[in-house]
Amino acid sequence: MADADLLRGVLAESARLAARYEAAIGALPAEAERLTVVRDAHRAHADALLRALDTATAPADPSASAAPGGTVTLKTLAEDERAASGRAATACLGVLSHHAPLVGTIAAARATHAESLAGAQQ
Amino acid sequence: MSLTDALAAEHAAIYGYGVVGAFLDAQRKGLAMEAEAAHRGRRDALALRLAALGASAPAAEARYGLPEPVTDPASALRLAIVLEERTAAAWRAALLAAEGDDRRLAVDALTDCAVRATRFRRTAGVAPAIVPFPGRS
Repeated sequence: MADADLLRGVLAESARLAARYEAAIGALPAEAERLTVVRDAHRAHADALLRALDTATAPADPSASAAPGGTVTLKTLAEDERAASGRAATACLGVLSHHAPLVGTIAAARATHAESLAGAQQ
Repeated sequence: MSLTDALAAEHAAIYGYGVVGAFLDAQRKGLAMEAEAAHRGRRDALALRLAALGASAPAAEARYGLPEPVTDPASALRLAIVLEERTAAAWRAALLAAEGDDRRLAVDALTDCAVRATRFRRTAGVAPAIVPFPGRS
């Protein structure tokens, strides 16, 4: 897959995760502080990916990937993050060299989000 | 930055954990020992890889400077966080030049260091326990 397509895939997932945390903050008010930090990290990732994408290529519409429904718990968020971390790591292997640090860092960040949610009160 | 620099960072982390472990109670010492073992594993994998490439592999130094004196559990945990942040930064930098299996090694190592940094921040009561871009200074 081309570099820009891989970046757009990671971008769409950052936007999806940010939207999922936005919903989770409303559903789990007791965890709002911690969840807000993670939501903001996903937004920062999306911003960085947009900057990395060639301005000549139109970015994917983040709103196209709506947050999934269903009950949100810290456990399901952590599982989502771990899977998304793996997908970003796979994307990291295919992007151009100068994009590998950014995509690899996003893969690492998603794994830390799962870690930060572990052991929390449900 | 390169795999060679990542190896140097792993050597420094292994040295640092020798200091960290001496100041932690049994439960947290277990976390530090687990982390140290992971760094030894990366060091060994890197040394093998550099040998296969015919590249020079730096040996560990006899001692390394520490960011602050370690005198108690709190300063030991702060050092553990710094050790993981530094190795994460070295692996992130190594991604720029790494291709194929080396890039896989680097992204896996970066992820593991970042997760341990978060784990130690939680253990130390540091909030937030995450940073937006692990390894980026």
